[in-house]
Amino acid sequence: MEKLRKRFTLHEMVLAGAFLLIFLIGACSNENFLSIRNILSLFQQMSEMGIMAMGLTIVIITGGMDLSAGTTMGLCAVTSGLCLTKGLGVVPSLIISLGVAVLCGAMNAVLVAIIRIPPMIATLGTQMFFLGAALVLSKGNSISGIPESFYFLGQAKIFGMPLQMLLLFGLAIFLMIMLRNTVTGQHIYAIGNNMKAALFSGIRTKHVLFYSYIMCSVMCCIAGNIQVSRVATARADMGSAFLMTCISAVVLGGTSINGGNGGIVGTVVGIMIFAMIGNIMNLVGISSFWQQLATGSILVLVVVFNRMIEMQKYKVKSRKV
Amino acid sequence: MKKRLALFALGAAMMVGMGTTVYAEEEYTIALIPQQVGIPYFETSNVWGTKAGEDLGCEVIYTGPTSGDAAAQANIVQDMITKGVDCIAISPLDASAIEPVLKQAKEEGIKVITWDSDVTDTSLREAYVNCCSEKVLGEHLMQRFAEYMGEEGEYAIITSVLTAQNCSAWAKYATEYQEANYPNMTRVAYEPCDDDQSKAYAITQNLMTAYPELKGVLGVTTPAPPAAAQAVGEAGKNGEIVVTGVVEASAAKSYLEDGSMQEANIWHPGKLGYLAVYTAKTLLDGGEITDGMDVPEVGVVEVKDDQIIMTELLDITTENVDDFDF
Repeated sequence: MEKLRKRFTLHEMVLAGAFLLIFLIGACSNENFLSIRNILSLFQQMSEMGIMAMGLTIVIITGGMDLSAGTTMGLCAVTSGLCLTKGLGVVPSLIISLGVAVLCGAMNAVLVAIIRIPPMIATLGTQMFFLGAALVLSKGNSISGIPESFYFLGQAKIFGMPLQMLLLFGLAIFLMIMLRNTVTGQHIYAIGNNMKAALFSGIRTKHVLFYSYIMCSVMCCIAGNIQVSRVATARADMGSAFLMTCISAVVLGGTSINGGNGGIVGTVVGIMIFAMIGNIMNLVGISSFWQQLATGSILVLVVVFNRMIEMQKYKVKSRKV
Repeated sequence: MKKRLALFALGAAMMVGMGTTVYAEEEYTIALIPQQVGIPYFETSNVWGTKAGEDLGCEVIYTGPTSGDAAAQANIVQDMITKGVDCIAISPLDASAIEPVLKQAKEEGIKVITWDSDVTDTSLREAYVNCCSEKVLGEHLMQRFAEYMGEEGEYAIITSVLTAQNCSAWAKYATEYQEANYPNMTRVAYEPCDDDQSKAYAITQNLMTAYPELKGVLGVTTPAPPAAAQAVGEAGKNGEIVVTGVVEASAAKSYLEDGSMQEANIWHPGKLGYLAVYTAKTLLDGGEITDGMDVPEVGVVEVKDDQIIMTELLDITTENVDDFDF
C-alpha cells in the first residue's frame, strides 16, 4: 500500500477504482461486453470524444478554457465535407480543414492572450461564431456523398483494430511526452500554476498560449474528420453535444479546472468511463435517460471523493505544524 | 471513515442494481430507435411499440439519442448490433449519416426497417413503415377543411419549403381534391413558411390584408396551423377564417380551445410505433404484410413496393384533444 501511495496519487487510485468498478459491472451484466468486438467498437465510438478531450486538457492545464471546441469540430467537419464533395482530393481537403482549425485556434488565442479577454467569455463568443460559420457554409443541411476514398479514417481497420483507436493512442502518447518531457510542456503547467510568475521567469506566455489553443483546435479538427469519415456525412452541429462530456471527462481525469496540474492519461480514463457507461446501458437495454443520471452521479462521487482526500491531507498537515 | 463506507455502499448498491436487471428470455429482440428520446411524439411511439412487443411476445428495446446528434444515434445502432438484437427499427435522424452502421447491421444478418422517416439508400432496409399515404392525407385534409369552410370561399395553403417532398404532395392532392369536388372554393395563395412559425404568422397576416374575403387557411406543415391560428385570433376573426391542418395535439391544444383553430389532422405516432414493431415481428417470422391487411390496433394498411403505409388518420378537436399525449 505504501509503495502504491508513493507511485500514484490518491486521485489516480480513486479513478482507477471507479474504472475497474464500472468495468466489472459491465462484465457481470452482459456477456457481450467483454467480447473483442464490443471493446473495439467502444474504442471506435470514444476516440472522437477522446481526441477532443485531450486537446481541451492542454488548454485547461494553462488555466484556460475552450468552449468553442465542439463547434470548431463542426466547422472543420463541414469544411472538409464541402471540399470532398466539391471534388478535391483527400489530402488537400484534410489540409484545408487543418488550416481552418489553426485559424480557429489562433483566433481564440488572440482574444485570450493578446486582448486578454477571460477565456470563458472569449470562447463563448467564438463558439457561436464557428457554429454560425459552419451553418452558413453548409446552409444548415447535412453534407452527404462523401467519397469512399475518405472512409479510411473512420472505418478502416489495421490488424483488426479501428484506425481511429490507434490514432487516439498515438496522439495520447505524443501529448503525454510533450507535456512531461518538453520545455513547452513544462511551460504549459507553469502558466497554469501562476501566469505572472511564469511571465517574470522569462516564459513567453503568449507563444505558449497560442500553441495550446491551436493544438486544441487541431485535435478538434482531427476528431471532426474522423466523425465525417465514420458516418459518411458532415453536419454543422457535429461535436456540439461533445463539449460538456469532454469537460466532465477532463475534470474526472483529475485535471484541475484552475489549471496547473493534470494530465492526458486521466482524461483518457475519464472518457473511457463515460463511454463504458453508455455502452453498458445500451447493451443491457436501459433507457438513455439513466445514462445521464449514472454519468452525473459518477462525476459527482469522484469529485467529492477527491475533495475529501484533499481536506484530510490538509488536516493532517496542519496538525503536524 | 463513515463517509467512505457510505460511498462504498452506494457504489455497491449501484453495481447490484445494474447486475440484477435480468430480462425474461423471449423469442425476438427488436430495437425501436427514435430520432430522439424525450419528445412527446416519440414517447407515444414508445408506449405503443412496447405494448406491441407485449402483444406479440417479443422484447422491444426503446432507446435513442437524448439530443439531436446523428453520431450518437449511430453509436446506439452499433451497440444494438453488438447486443445481437434480431431487428433494428429506426427513425433516422440523418438519412445518410446512419448508413455505414446500417450496412454493418445488414452484414451481421440483422433485419433493418425504417419508420417515420427513411434512409437515402433504400437497399439497406427491408421495409419502410410510412406514417401515411400522401394521397390519403392530402384528400382527408381537404375534406375536413372544406366542411368547416362550408365548401365555398377563398382559401390559402401554407407549406414548409417548396422542395419538401411530403408537404408538397399533401398540398397537391388537397388542391386536386378541391378542384374536383368543391367548385365554389378557390385557392388564392400557396406560400412556403420554411417551417418557421414566426414566418407562417407573418404570412397569415399578409394574406388577411391581401385577401379581405379570405375564409380559410390550411397548414400542411406542423408549425403552420398554430401560427395561422395565432394571427387569426389576434385579428379577432375566430371562426370567420377557418384554420386546420397537420399539427400535433399538444401544439394545437390552446388554439383549438380558444376557437382560433377548428381541427388538427394527423396520423397517430403511437400506432406508427406499433406498426413498426408489428412489421419487424412479421418479417422475422418470415411472413409478409400485404396490401389492405387489417393490422390489430393499427387498422388497414396500404403496401406499395417495400413501403408499409398507415391509412388511419386522427381528427383532433376540442372534444378529444385531451385524449392524446403527443
